[in-house]
Amino acid sequence: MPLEALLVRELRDFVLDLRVAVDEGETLALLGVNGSGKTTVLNLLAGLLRPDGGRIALHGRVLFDAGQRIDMPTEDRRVGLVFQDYALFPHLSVRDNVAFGLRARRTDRRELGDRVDRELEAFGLADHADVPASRLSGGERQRVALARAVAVEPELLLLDEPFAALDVRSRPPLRRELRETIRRIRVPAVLVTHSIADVRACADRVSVIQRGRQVLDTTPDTLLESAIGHEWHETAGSPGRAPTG
Amino acid sequence: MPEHQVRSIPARAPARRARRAERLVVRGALGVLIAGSIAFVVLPILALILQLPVDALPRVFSDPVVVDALLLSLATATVSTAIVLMAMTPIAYVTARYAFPGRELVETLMDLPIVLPPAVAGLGLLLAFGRFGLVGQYLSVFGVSLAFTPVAVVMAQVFVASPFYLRQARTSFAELDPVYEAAARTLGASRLYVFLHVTVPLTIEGLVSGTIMTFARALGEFGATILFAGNLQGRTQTMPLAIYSTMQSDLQASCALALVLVAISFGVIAAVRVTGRRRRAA
Repeated sequence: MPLEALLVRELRDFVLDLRVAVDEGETLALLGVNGSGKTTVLNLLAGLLRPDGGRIALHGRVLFDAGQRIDMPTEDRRVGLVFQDYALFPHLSVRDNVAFGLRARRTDRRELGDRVDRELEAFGLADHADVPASRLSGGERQRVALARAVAVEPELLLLDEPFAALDVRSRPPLRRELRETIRRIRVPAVLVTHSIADVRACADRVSVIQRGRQVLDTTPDTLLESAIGHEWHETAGSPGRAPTG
Repeated sequence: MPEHQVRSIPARAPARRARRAERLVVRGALGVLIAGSIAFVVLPILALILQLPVDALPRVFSDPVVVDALLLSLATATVSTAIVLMAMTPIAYVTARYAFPGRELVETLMDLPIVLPPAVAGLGLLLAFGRFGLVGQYLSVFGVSLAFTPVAVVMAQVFVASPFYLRQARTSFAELDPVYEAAARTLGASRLYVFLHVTVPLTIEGLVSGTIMTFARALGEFGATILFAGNLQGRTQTMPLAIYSTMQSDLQASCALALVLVAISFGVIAAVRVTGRRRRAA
């Protein structure tokens, strides 16, 4: 598998201990309630948090290995991360947000312009190129965050509750878009969510996480047939608990 | 209608009058207090202006004592501010972002000059870096003598003025959500690139206002300077020292220097208020 990771990290209330393997162009959804450790998984993969033990390999490159004392810095991992609130740079325009990673990697100026134009076009942002990122709607922000992450051609795409900040009605088309984007760039993707609807629309495989451990590994279609999936649907899907959109 | 209620109406009128009188007295007292406080701040500045007739300006501003002090002050305060920026920015960032053993101690020690009387700072600097000082005795072996030189002026200013920038910068960094820096790093930016292209632009108002406060404090430095650097015209005599020296011989020169400092102080307050407002609006 292009992404193979064994992650061990002691959290406040429990020990996270998880094996994650994702294929090229495949989307793995990590489904869990708040505090189950699913966002931590993304931070460990991206190098923003250091695991206490385990190993992370991406396309044969070792990003982390506790035994060999390897811990590659975040900026060298080529792991794209779309943050829950998108974390767009508020002082930059849409174009400069998308160009940020390419500039940081000292991309040749002509190539940079071409690639940024291409991403702005692909994500339907060409008309908004010069708008400050702070003035966009929720859906537009999500597109900019995706375009920004994809522009540097990551080898792994991580998505932290990419639809949670959006209103329920704008979610379905954006779910389809995300699915197409992941197919287009053909990298492994890990999607963290607490919404069954996200799982069904975007994921190829789903791993249910409870207190830092995987309790179920299945496909979105069979998720609801299992006892855990059914129970999840009953409790998390109920109004007022966790919106599934 | 019960009798006691009827009687209670006239009984209330004096109470109401008393309340109104009380309000008037409080308002009057507050007005007098505010007017008095403003006068207390404005009168000394007015006195400086009145002491200096316009036709005396050409003579005063060609006086070498005044010119030397002005140039030395601007030069040393600029150099001091630049040194504070370069030395304190990394410390401010590290103490704002990372928890490490002894962090509180570092913060407390670095803030110390803000409460330390400048005369104490000057004496301490002299005993540390003076010719026979703790460090100075070894420097003088190599022919390096710091006390009573322009370098000493800068050292005194850096010592007393650095916390003004450090505190503001630390607060600004701590208030910035680390998610922007994390996002930049996942995009392939090195820590230095992230700092220069994300952290600094997003905290620039706070950094600028801290820089202005440090410059102002350096410009006004008196106590530590006179003890550690002395009061040599053209060499270590900054504006505040020149004000002190010319006060008895040439009051008009003294006032001219004082008014230059007043003008700069006004500029500083205006600049800090403007950057503060922009920060709140953002």
